[in-house]
Amino acid sequence: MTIEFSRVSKQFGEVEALDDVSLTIDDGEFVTLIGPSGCGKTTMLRIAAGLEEPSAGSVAVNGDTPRNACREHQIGVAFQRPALLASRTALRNVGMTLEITGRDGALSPGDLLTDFGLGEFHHHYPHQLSGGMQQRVNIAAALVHDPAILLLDEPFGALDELTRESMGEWLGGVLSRSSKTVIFVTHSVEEATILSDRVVVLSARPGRISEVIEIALPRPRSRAFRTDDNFLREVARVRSSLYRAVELSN
Amino acid sequence: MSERLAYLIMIVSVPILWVLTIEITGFPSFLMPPPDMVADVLWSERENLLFHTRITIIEALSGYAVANVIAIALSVSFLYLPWFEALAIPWTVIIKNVPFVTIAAILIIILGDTPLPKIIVVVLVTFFPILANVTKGLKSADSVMLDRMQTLNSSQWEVFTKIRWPSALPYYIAAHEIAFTGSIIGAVVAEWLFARQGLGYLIVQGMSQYRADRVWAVTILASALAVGAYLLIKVIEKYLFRWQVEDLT
Repeated sequence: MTIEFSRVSKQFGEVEALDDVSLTIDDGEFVTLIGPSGCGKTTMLRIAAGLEEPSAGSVAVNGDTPRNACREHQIGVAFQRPALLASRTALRNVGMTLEITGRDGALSPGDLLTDFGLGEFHHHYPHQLSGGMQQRVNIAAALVHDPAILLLDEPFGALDELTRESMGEWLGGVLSRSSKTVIFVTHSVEEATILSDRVVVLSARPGRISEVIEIALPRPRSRAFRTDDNFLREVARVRSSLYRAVELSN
Repeated sequence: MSERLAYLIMIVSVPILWVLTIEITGFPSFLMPPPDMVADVLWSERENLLFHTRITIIEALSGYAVANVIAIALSVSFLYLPWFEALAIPWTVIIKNVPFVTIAAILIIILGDTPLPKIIVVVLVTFFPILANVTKGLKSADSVMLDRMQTLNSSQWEVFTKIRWPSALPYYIAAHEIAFTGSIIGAVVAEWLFARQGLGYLIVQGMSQYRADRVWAVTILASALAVGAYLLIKVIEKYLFRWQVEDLT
């Protein structure tokens, strides 16, 4: 499924969160949005999820509105703060998605959690899980109905550096086995570079696309790859683009 | 120290402090009856006491049930109709803050010695904590959770039953801790103003006949009822939220 932003603007009162943003995300593509705070990356993601309406312009998901894509259960979202109910076990939190969407074409919540390395934690409550585990449950809950589109808003933002690295690797592995279209919002240049097909660098006030960078690195990109010269060169390229965007914002 | 031990210490201390007070002050038994005298009343008049206790319990429970239905219905409508909440708030503030003893007197003048004024007093005393807590609880639902539900195209009913009500449940239980005990006190006070049945009536009767021992017996009964109500809520709370204390084994 494709996602197409056409001349999207969004104002919150006086604040111009997005100004005339156009971007087309291809079927099966992994696109990361990165930029200084206030650049509107989360707003872009929320508009694609049908959670906000653009003030001007439009967003099309496979030619239809985001709300209709939600109706067809084609969208899965995971936020920085895991959307888990404290009174449900990991398994029942993931299962809740299917209670709402129905089981047609869905994956098995138990198999998915086991696949995500949580085989022994099916019956644990969120407060009994570490932050990284909670986030895996959260992403499982976003994936279990097998949506064609996955929207991730800084899912690893609250985790420590090492957990964050291994979660990034884990996510790359999980998604390499599927053909989902992904929009990923992050603050981490390394995370963006190792996971993405394209990195969209945004500048703030108003939120605009400053640069789009193709990451022409082979897959799979494993841990060893993090110290590879080619990878480090791409990281430097994204980072200097981000610095330019930050300068533009001030 | 465990909670049980603390309760045990309290229960044992009450008669000791009681006897000590009598020893120190030297009050005669017709002013301050000793524990054995009160125990004697509790036993020898048990049938009469139980009859009146039953009346009080029925009034308290009926009023409390009505209060719950009204408070929850209002909380839910507040959630979906903000204008209705704005309209209703002054009324709830009035109802909460007008002294319920005078309201009870007015109701008894109008309705006479029927169960109705007592039930209404119980409703007035107990409905506000439930309303305030459930209203707050329903609105405390996690915004991230609500966003997730919206992207799954869930119905309002699913949002309510799966997200909002579970979020409100701890608030609702906390309201019971305050209000359920209040229902018994409300019923006793309403009876105390004017009635021919119930624990409140026994207090008035005991006072007019200078039967301090009976007033003490009723006090102990009413306290036991209120404490029992509180402990019942605690047990239910522990059961409902047992998952919170489950360890990792």
